[in-house]
Amino acid sequence: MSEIAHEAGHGEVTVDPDFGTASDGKVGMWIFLLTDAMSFSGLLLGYGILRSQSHNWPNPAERLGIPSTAVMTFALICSSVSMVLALEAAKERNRKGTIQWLCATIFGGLFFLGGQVREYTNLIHEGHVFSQDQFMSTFYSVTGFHGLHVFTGVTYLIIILIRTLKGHYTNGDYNHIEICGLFWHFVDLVWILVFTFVYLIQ
Amino acid sequence: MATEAAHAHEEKKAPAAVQGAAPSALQGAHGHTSHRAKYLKVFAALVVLTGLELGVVYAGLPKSTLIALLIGLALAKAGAVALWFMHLADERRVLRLMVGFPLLFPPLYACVLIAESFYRSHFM
Repeated sequence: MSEIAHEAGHGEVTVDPDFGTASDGKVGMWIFLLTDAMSFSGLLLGYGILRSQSHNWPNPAERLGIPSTAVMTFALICSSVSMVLALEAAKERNRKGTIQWLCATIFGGLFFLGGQVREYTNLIHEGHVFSQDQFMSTFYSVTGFHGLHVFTGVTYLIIILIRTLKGHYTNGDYNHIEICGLFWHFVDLVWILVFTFVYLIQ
Repeated sequence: MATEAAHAHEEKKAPAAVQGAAPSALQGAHGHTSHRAKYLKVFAALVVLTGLELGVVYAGLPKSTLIALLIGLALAKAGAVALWFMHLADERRVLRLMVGFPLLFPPLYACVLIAESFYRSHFM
């Protein structure tokens, strides 16, 4: 598969009997994302177990800002759309469009991270620190692990942007943008679940 | 693996995958079909579903109904992202199964834990 997939990244039509046009890198990223999904599953299951066994679990809405987090969620969804539009532009060999949409995606990620820093700062100032109770411990663990993914995703996107500025990826070889996009969409997907389980369920 | 043989296999085994939305690099270079309209529809659906989530939270519904609705909406949103933004809908069956099958286990494990918790609280 590797030989064929390598060629696929350089603009030739190559098809694997099992994975079709998916490149080695893309399949590898999917496998990594599966392992990552299991990590998040473990955290969310742990959160659920602690919550179900607690008799005085606080209402998340009393501590967390649901409307401001909804705005952060919206920013992450927007950045997912800009990511697929960057890929579309790369497929059309539109370098300017690819750069613009990648910048928009990075901006969405930075906006989310800024919102998370603001949220943590406010919570800590209000005395809701990591060791306060089980709710805050699990809250910081789950959202902090996700925030680390957003940070990694933004760093990954910046590297892809720099390489695009140098002329890569818009000559028919958009494989790396697609793989980076998989990671970014996964970050969005996980947040959708975290937002529901940690913030919305009361 | 011979590329030509793979081509023949592709045409024979899964023409839908070839005609589907997963464009090859060559298609990207020559005659790429734009999916912008589809992406914008998915985006609109995600925004509407997020709005619905917030509406449900502030609607004052019974707790069990609220939880069921919120989980359903979240899974719908996550599924939309995986299928269309991550292009899982356009991938071959092997890749879809490789991704989908292991993800059945965390919810299954959650069900076991819920059942265990229910048993302990009601029968012990």
